[in-house]
Amino acid sequence: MSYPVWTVPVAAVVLMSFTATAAVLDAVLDSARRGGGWRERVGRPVWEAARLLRQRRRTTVAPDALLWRLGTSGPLVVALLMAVVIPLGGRAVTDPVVGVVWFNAFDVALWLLWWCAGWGANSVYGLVGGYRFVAQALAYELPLMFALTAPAVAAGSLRLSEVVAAQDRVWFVVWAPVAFLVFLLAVTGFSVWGPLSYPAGWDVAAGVLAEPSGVDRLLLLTGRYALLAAGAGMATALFLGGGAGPLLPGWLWSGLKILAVLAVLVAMRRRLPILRADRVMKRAWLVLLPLTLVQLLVVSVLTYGGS
Amino acid sequence: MVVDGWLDRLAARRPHVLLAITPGATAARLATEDALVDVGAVVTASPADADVLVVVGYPGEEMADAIGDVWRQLPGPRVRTQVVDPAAAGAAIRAAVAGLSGGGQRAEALRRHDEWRTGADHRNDGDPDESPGHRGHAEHGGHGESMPMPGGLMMAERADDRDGLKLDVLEVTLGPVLADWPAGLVVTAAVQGDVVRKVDARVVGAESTAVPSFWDGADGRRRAAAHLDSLARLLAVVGWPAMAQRVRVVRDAALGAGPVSDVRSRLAVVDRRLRRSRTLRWATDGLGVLTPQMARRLDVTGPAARAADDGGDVTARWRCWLTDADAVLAGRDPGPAVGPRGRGRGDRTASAALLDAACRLMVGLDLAAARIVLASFDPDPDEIAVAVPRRVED
Repeated sequence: MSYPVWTVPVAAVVLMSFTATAAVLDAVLDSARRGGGWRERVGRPVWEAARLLRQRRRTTVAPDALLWRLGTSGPLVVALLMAVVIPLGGRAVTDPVVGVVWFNAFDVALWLLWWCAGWGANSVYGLVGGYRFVAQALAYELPLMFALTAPAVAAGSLRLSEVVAAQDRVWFVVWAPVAFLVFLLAVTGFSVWGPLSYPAGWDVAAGVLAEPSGVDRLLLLTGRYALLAAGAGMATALFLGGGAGPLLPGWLWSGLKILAVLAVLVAMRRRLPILRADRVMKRAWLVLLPLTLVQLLVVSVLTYGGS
Repeated sequence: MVVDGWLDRLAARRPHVLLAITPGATAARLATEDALVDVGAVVTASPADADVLVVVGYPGEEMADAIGDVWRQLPGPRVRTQVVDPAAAGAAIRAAVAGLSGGGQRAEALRRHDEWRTGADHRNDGDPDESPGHRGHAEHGGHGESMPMPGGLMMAERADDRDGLKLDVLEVTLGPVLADWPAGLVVTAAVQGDVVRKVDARVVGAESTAVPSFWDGADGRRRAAAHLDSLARLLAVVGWPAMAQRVRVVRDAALGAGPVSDVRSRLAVVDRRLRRSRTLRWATDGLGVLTPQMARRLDVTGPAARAADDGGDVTARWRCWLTDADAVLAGRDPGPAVGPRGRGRGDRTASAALLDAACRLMVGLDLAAARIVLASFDPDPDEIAVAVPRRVED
């Protein structure tokens, strides 16, 4: 079921609330500031945003301005486009027949966008960061695609409302735990976050984040949190039964589950060191990919074996 | 105006700071790091993200030039300050943060004529001698027949790569202003893609480099702190900032006046966590192997030489730091040494040998791995008084 067109801005507001929550969560979990109380931390995203709004928009010498702007604003746009198909309490802004593919198509678009964000600045560090993203994407994208396939196969549909409805008895996370974990890892991958923030590595002066400043940087950083939020929303719909739950209304259940997943994603940042693409590529292709394929087989047998 | 003042106040609560550290200013650096935490500032990795540039120590002429280049890349509002006396760090940082708001910024913004601004409008007006590299010193001259390109930049040249292809060679200068990087070190690397083919390292001196290294001496706590300082830098470069921060806290405890048993128990927690981390081992295992023979040949002493007997990779070196730090805190001496990095041989300081070894092992690695290898040796530029150029080719 879909809402009318005017709900598009509402969906955007909802996504941005989750985005802000992610930023606040990250600040709260930061252990770096000694003696900083709760108020010190909760307000941090506000101060960071104020700082970037006030900062001048710097460029570099001979940048590729068009691609650079595309790269810095793109991740936020992609997150918003992902959000329109994510159901909240059983209903989304739109519910296309190919909802799962819609999500997948936009996460692939991020290959180009992150690369542009690095390339456009005409700086060595940005360029290295952009190519690091491509290398990293080669490692996570195929496992992600098979992880997305698992719930679609189990539900026998690519329409998200039907995927959610198919989980009325058992959530797909029970049948497909590997796919769920791979999906979460891939979300941090396309959000350039935590263990998969190799493209924004400190060793190359923050890589894709090395050159953007002012409002460009604000858009890019907001886009990063928004991607995490959209990923958490999708994980809830695909694996955690969407708005299913006792007593509380569906939209509230969806919201709570999204928050829980988001908290896990944000917390991953401080738990692990960066997984460098050159080191994890082999593991991604030789371990993760076969695992997701076996997972897909298990789901297929469970779904169609009985009938 | 009202909105401006309001934004100013909010923004000033979390200033981002870029540190330009000169050799011989370790005490001032530690005081600065401490002062930054007090005002709620965060250290950043790139000038584009910085509001405040803090010059730590007295830079020499070449370093000052590089700092000037970096300063021109701060977007603004921006403030520049200098910390020389560790005792004055707090006041200097507070004054700098206060300077971020107010009318002075507006006036400064109007006076600015940055190359990156004109570069966008008149692409061919750029003067090749003034092209800013990202870290200041991009030496674009001396490339033979390279053709000038828009913005005064030069085109890359080509050379055979390791797979028998012909690829662009780009000369990248790392340092002297770079986060978690040995103070004043400049590494000029020829890279193909992101594979390092040639390394040329030197230390850009401070105004005076006659002072002995901050870390030298017989004090066990200070030696332990030196290892933890190195370890924190390595962890930051590996990409585990939260853990690097925890190690810095233990380092500060070692330098403080608290009981040794307390420092040791904190160290034990970090030690356990690091040794158990499988993902950290993925990042450092088998990387930059220094064999015992090579260690002897290059006069490497200290923890790096001991680690050579234990596998000799980056993992062995950070484990050796942990072991040594605990040993010196417990009052045991893990091996004869003058400073925490060894004693050197003849005129050659321990750090000079470490830098030499690191440069040799960096060749053939990609940028990320090369930086990790360098960080795992962590030569102390305070020990390398004279700039000795060394060149290593593939």
